[in-house]
Amino acid sequence: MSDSSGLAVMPRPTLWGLFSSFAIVSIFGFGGTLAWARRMAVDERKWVSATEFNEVFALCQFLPGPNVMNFAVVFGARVRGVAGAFVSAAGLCGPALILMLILGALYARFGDLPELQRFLGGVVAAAAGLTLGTTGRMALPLFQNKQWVSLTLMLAVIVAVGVFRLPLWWALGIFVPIGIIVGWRKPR
Amino acid sequence: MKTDGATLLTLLLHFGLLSIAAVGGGNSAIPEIHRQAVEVSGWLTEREFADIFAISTAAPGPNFLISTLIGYHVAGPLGALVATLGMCGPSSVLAYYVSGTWEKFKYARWRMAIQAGLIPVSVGLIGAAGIIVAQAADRTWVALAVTAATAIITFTTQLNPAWLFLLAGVFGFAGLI
Repeated sequence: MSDSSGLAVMPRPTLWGLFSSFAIVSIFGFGGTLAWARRMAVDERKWVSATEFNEVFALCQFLPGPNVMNFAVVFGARVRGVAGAFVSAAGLCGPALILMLILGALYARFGDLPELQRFLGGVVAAAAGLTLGTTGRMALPLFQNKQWVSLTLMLAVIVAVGVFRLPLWWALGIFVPIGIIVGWRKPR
Repeated sequence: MKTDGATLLTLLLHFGLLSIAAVGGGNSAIPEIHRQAVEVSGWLTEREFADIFAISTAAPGPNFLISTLIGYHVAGPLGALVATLGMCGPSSVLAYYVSGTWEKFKYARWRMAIQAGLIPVSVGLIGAAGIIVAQAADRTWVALAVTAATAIITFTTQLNPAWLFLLAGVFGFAGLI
């Protein structure tokens, strides 16, 4: 099931196919772009199997930086080399970037309008809730697997960074080694 | 708005370092972006940060494009491009090179230990992001209630968040928040 690149990709996508697919994912992939990337690559275009997607996804989660961007680069590189990586990344970022430039300009011009302020005030309250709810969902497997040490570590990070505003570098320096020791003693 | 070289370089370095430090992706970089942009550099006020977080979360496109909006706010279109390049560039280059050797260490114990160890840290950072944004956003009890309700709905249902944003935005527009 594996070729030399480590991925069995049946119909090899063209560069334009990669660009347009990631552009569509980026613009319509509302609320979790990665879920849309999965639907596109696995269900609709059948570029990879679900297993292979999960494998690439595991790598992208392991790596730092935006997961979906990592996915575009790794997937693009596997099917079309450097050009594939560039084109996929450009598809993912390009159209959304242009939209952000327009929104940035509009905000600079109209950001102080009371009507817009009231509207955004509501949206941000919901956006904060979405982030907290997502955190709960992500923590759920730790509960279900009774990983109490990991849960304690997670809560410590929330309090240290969210409440006491510990700089990221300190948080990583303190909590990542603890996490790795825990992960080493209890490999999944 | 400052478009001098020093400001652009600061944006590039700040987001470039975050690109590598954002473990687990997602919103795990938000606490540090907030600290740098609001508390250290004074690029944005709390309210502006809350607005920009709202726009980047509610608008289509990947959430890491909050770096684009902050770059735009600090140094215009050029700042937006520089900040985005910083946020995506280093991690993308790393991803490109690591993907070639992934097969060799995919099942290595140290790799699984790092991955398992990073999960609680990255989930914790995203939780911290939620708290920081909530503190910037929730100036009234009604706003706090909207945050709590959205958190519960997100946790318990698969509802598309677009509806929640729209509803909360209309609430706010009507002066209820």
